[in-house]
Order: sequence, then structure tokens, then C-alpha cells
Amino acid sequence: MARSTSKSHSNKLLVFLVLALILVVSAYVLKKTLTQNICANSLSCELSLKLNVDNNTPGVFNGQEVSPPQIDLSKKDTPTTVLGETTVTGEKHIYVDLTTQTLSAYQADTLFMQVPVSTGKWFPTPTGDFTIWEKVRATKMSGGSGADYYYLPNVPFVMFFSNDKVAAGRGFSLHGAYWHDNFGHAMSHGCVNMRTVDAHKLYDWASPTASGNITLSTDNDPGTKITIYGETR
Amino acid sequence: MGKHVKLTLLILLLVIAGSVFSIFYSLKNQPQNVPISQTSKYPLPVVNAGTTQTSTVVAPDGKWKLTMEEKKNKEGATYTFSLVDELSNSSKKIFTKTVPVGTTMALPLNTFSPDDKYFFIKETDSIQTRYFVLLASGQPIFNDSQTVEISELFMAKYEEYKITDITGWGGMNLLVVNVDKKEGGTGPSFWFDITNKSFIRLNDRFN
Repeated sequence: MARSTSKSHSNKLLVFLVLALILVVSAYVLKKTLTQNICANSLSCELSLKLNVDNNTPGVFNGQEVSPPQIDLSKKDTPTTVLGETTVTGEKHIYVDLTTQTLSAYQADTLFMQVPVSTGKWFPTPTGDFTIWEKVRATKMSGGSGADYYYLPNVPFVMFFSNDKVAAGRGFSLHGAYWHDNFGHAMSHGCVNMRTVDAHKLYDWASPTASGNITLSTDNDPGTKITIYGETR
Repeated sequence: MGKHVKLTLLILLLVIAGSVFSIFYSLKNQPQNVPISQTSKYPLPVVNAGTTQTSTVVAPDGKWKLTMEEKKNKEGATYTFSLVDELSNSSKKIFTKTVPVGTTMALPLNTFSPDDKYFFIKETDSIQTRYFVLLASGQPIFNDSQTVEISELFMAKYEEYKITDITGWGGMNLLVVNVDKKEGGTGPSFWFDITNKSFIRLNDRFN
């Protein structure tokens, strides 16, 4: 009788251990799946990858209404002054330092621009080596919830980047930000926010060469490499 | 004493007297304000009377440029803030302030509000830094005053904290205010809402 009770306890313990193991593994897989596939803009997600201009809807950021810039796609943007572009040759590379919240763009060893940026505060900006795979003149981005909810039409000069760990569909990008002016400090939901004037200049300089309002990188015109490093303070 | 010896002594006395007179005369005529030593370990004070310096910040959308002209004089410095329309290159004087020696004013990098409606400036002396918000139109921002001073408003409401920095604009009319505890330690961040001059305490710290 005693032996039978002991066996029953052992079986219960075994079942409990197996269930606990299944629970832990499931939680790990779920967390990994969720964090690997979360879009940079949780609500607009893959819609943000497309060209979208809306000059009539106000935006929302930090609980406030914001006025998006008016964008007329029929008008060609004034090209930014690109000093030295014709004389400097070599590979282009963009570096984003999360610690100093600074973006530096080089062609070979020549510094093209160095400007303050705002990276992930409410969601981390991924680190590593990336490539620009798409450039879009303007799009809509929305996400967050509660006080962090944002809805931002006409986000200008968007340069989407990806690598083998961060899929293109997640929508991480460098882009202009018209809804705040706190550059040099973390302020985004994972993207790299730039002053609109700086984003315009980088958009004109970086590859693939913009042709029209949406441009994909190709084998003949590959995207500029981006290295994101450091740790947000 | 021989005649030759007497003559030699006389000549010697005359030479000595002449030398003493010459040294005395040259010292008497030396300019009084010439430093005795040119290799003094203390740097001599330099007054940059009349020097002018200009700083500029371009708005994030590239439409406007704010310039600060600093004109130094013996009493201090006069700062003039002007707004330049980047398209037409026309300039409008917005604000002028004269400060005493030891006080400086500065244009922060993120001076413009996102819609270019406001801008903020810093004034620093040996004791503290003050932050002022102005309307870019140059109109009075509150009653008849052209400026709103944030530090004073904050100190009146939150005695336990001190402002360490105002970094920029978190929204169209929200300034990011970082504070520390007066007794030591990092404090929270606040929004300063310029529309109603109120402070909103945040859960996050904006570094």
C-alpha cells in the first residue's frame, strides 16, 4: 500500500515537471517569436513600407495633435547641396552611435555629415550591420498604446534597413521627424529619427539612388550599409 | 697723494655720478603702466571691447534660421536674436537683452519648437542657468512680457528639485525638463507646457 502511494507521488511529480518544462519552453518560444517579429510601428506595420501621403489628417504624438508637413508629390524636391559628391569615391557607410545619439555618414574616409539623431526610447533600436533596402519619399507610421500612442502621416525621407536577423517587413528605418525637436536624445519607437533637413540630405546621398518617390535596392544599385552600435543611456 | 691719483679719483667720481643720474633719469621717465615682468604667471586681463560673435541654429524643417549676435563691451554683453526666413533671406529682430560681465546667453541646438512657433534660449551666470521661451513672431508671449522664464516657475512649484537641463521639445508646445534632487540623486523628467505654463511629471527620464 505504502509502495503504491509512493509510486503515485513520483508519477505526479514527473507530470508536474514535464508540464513546467513545457510551460517554460513555450514562454521562451513565444517571447522569441514576438520580439523577433514585432514591427517597428506596431499598428501600421507593413503598411508603413508603402508610399503614403495624407495632407488632410492631423497626427498624434505624446497625446498632442501635430500638423504633418504638406507634401506635393507632383513637385520635385529641391536637391540638397551635396558638396564633394562628385569628387569623392569609395563605399558609402552610415554609422549610428546609440550612446552619443549621433549619425555619421562617410564615403570612404571622407565624412559627409555628422548630426544628432533620436533612437529607440519606448522600443530598442536594433544593433548590428544593416543595408538600406528601400527608400520612400513619405509614409504613415502608427503604433504604441495609451499615452505612447502615435499616428504620424507624411513621415518624410524614409530609408528602410534590414539584415538577416531583422527582417525588412519589420520596418526599421532612418527618417525625418517633424513631431519633436529633441535630437541627441532617445525619443523613438525603434527607428532612427532625424531632423527633416538632415534626413533629406542623407536621402539624396544614400543608395539606392532615388528614382521617383519609392526606390528599391537592386544588384546594380545596392543599398548603403548602416552600422548601429552602442547602448542607449 | 699724487696729482695723477687725485685726477683719477675725480674722473671716477664724475663717471659714477653720471651713471647714477642716468639710471635715475631713465627710471623716472619709464611709463608707469608697463608691467615689470613680461613673464608673469598671472594672465593679464583682456577686455574684448566691441567684439561681435554670431551663432546660428537652423529649424529642423529648414524653413527658418535663428541667429544670436553677441556684442561684448566693458560692462557685459548685448545679445540680439533675429529670425531669418531661409526662402526670402529676410531677417526680423525678435529680442535683445543686455547682461553683466560673467553672464552669457546661448542658443540650444533644439531651440525651435517642431512647428517653429516658439524657441527657447539659455542664460548662464556663476550661480545658475535660466531658460526663456519666446514666440518666434516676436509678439509678447504672456501679458506684456516677451519671455517666460521656466526655472523660476519650476522652483516655485517643486522645491525639492533643481533643473539640470532643458534638452528640447517633446511635442509642439512641450519642453523636456530634466531635474535632479536637491539633496542629491537623479530626479525625473517633466514636460513644461508653454500653452498654460504648467509642469507635467513623467514616468520616464529623458536623458
